[in-house]
Amino acid sequence: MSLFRIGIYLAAICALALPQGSAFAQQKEFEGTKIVVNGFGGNLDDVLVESVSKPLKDQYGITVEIVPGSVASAYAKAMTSRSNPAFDVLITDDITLRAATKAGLIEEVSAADVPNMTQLYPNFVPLGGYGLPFFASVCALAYNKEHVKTPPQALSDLANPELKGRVGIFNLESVGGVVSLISLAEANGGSIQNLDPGFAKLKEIAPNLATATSSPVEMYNLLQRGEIWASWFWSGRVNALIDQGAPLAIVVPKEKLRGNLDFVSLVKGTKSRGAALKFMNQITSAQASLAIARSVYFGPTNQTVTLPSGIEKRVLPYGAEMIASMPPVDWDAVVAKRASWIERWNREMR
Amino acid sequence: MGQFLRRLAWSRDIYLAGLLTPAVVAVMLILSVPIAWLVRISLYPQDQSYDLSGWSAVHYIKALTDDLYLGSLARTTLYSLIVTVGTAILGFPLGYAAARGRLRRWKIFFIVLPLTLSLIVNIFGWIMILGQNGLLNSVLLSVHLLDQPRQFLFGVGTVLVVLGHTYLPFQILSVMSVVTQIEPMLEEASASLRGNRWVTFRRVIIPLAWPGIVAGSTIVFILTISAFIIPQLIGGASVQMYAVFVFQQMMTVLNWPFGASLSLILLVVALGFATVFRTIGSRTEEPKSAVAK
Amino acid sequence: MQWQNSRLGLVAWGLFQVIAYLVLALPSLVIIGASFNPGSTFSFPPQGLTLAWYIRAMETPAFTDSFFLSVELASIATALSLLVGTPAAYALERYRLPGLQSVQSLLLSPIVIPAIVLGIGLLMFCNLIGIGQGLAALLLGHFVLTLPYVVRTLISSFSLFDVVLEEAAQSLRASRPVVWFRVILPNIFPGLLSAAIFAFVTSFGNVALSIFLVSGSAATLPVQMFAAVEHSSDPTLAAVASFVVFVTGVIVLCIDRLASLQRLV
Repeated sequence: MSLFRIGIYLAAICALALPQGSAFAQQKEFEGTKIVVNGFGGNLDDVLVESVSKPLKDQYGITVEIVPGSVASAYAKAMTSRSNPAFDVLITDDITLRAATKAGLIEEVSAADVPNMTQLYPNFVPLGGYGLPFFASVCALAYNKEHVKTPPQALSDLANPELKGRVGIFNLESVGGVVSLISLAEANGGSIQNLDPGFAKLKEIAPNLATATSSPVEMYNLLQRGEIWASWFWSGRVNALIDQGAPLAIVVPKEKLRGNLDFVSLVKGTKSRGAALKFMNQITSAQASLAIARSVYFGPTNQTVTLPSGIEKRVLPYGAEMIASMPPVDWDAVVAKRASWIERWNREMR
Repeated sequence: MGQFLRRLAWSRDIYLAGLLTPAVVAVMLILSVPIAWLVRISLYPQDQSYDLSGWSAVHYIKALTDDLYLGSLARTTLYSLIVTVGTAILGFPLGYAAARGRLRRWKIFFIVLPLTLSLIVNIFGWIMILGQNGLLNSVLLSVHLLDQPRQFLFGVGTVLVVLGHTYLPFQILSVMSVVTQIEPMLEEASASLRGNRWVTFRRVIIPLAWPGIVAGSTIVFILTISAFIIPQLIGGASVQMYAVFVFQQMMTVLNWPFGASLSLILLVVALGFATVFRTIGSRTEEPKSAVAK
Repeated sequence: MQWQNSRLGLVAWGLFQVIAYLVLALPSLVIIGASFNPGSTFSFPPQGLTLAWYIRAMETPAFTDSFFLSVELASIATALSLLVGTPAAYALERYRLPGLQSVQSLLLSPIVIPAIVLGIGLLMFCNLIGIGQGLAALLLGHFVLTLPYVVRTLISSFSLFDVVLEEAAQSLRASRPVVWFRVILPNIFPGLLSAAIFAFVTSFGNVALSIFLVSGSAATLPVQMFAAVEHSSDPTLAAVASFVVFVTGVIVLCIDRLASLQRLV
């Protein structure tokens, strides 16, 4: 072996050894920082821990504390703790995001803060840096193949007398229910300003209703047990039921499909801004999007995600085409009007 | 002088006030902010949870004149009274038997059992029992009392039954604890005077146990009138109990001022009834001796 | 005894009780049954028997940690309520002054105020005094929530307890503490027991208020269950609930054993 070769090898060994040595002494960027986020519970939280908390811990030393509860209670907590924020990152849905923004709880972020922001479907970022979506979901039709002879093709088909007492829908307390009502109205000549056609269709469906609930858990349980045979329900959840062997099928209703989003936002006044931004970046990454889609069948919001062929057809919404074709929802109008809609619902559906 | 002061210090009034003070101070301290906030926020004119300013009673006017809310308040009160009376009637014999009978330890276990089941899981259990694919239907179908499964879930009746079932243990325990304190001698004395069971119950036991019955009923009434999880999940679309509206306004619509005014109205109504119950439940005669005079 | 009426009446009475207790236990039995179901659905009767869900529950730190926290919390809240509520109930029952009705209303109010409103209000209070979410907030909330049960139950207990006995003890020159510990407390023991059970189960099972007061590191079991149920679909939850039922049963039986021992002393 020539001296030259030995020298090269030695240099290579030194080159390998040195970064190891310095990494050993190197601190992770956010070592010891903790950020608090409100969570969902169950499988979804597990996915977030796997695809977001773990990588953040490994790469940056950030500890993520997920607080169980509902989005609404998290909003209330954030509202009452402005001077010493209870959360560093707030997870919200379509309606709570707008309330939180109006209430001044959120700090806007830019692409410089959260690089993955640029990878998100533009349709899905209506409030810009105030809220970054990390999954999308749709309320689709679900029916029990064993019991339903004429599968419903539209939301209004739930009025089919065959389904008497076997229909469960979301009421207006659920963002999915709101969107379904708007779709129902628009498909019958109405609009978000005029929901009368929607309410009229609801009246037709009413005799078939076992229940109109706000709880996805209850809907899930009722479908699983065959108590209800048809519903408008989160497609991701129906897929989970199908995986468990329930004889259900999902139909994209004739009324246009509209999406619901869940967002992450940076809370104003957080003491761990840098770590919080890393969290937001990680949760909107392709890696996390894919993990969420795989685990709970919710739609990825990151454009760079390609779903494996096995679940490609099952995840809604997915694909640039479908997403571009989903009509937008004027959520500001919803926020303004929902109270009166709920009152109307309470009066009419008694 | 010291003697006199010492007597004064130990005088009954100050002693009793002293006993009461820790509880009152603790509760007033802890509830000070919540109640003050509740009152203040109910008097804002806005319909949202932020940027609140000004004073207005507009939400109270709406809550007290709009038939949707007023009707619900009336209905909820009625439902609560039904549940209260129902649990009182059922709870008294069960509480009595638990106090006097054998197998006391097991009875207490079965009474406390429903209280330990988490609300959500409890509701799942009811879905499994009352649903069309549920236990009740299977039993009724197999003995041919029904030829088609019937929907027992969802509806006013079901809500009342489940509420009653959930809160019955409170009534039973309340009666039980009071009956345990009644000297068995009294019942035996009544029996030895050739009073049959019903007379004993009517003239001796019920009057003595009355404070316990009423205490239990007060708790059941308050719990029922402010219930919202059970009515929401088991009621279906048609049962609209008042506290559900409170939930809707506070958590869904985020109209905190209106939600707060609904809450205060509920508070006043419930406490009003509690006061009435207390009046019914108090005994105006001299406290009875342990030994019949 | 002369007044054991008819055999039939006795049998009917016994039957009535058996049915009543069975109905009371029904949802619990159904859930316990479902917790053994090998499939991942909630079904009763179970189509087989497996302990897999129990094992899964015990491997979930969210459930195990929160279980211990809930027990701790309920115990402390109950103890505090008993300590503070017993003298208060005594004073309310013995002290016949008109203004006291409003004091009683005040002490009852925490269970009337809708949990959501109380939760938000308490959160504000806790932020104001600097303790924020977490164990301290939970303790405050649960204490104030269990107190009404203790007070209301003991008022009825005291109304049955003859003042003559206390006066007799005092006339024998017994000091107030002695009167309390030797005369009053032993006689209202059933009421104390009842109140303790009410307080404990109320605190242990509370969801609506606790949601507002939990933090990531201090969450109660019902809140974890509430959260888990939104996105999980298997009988692990039934296993957790059944476990709670079992543990509560053991606690209640222990307390009652203690109570009977007390009577012998």
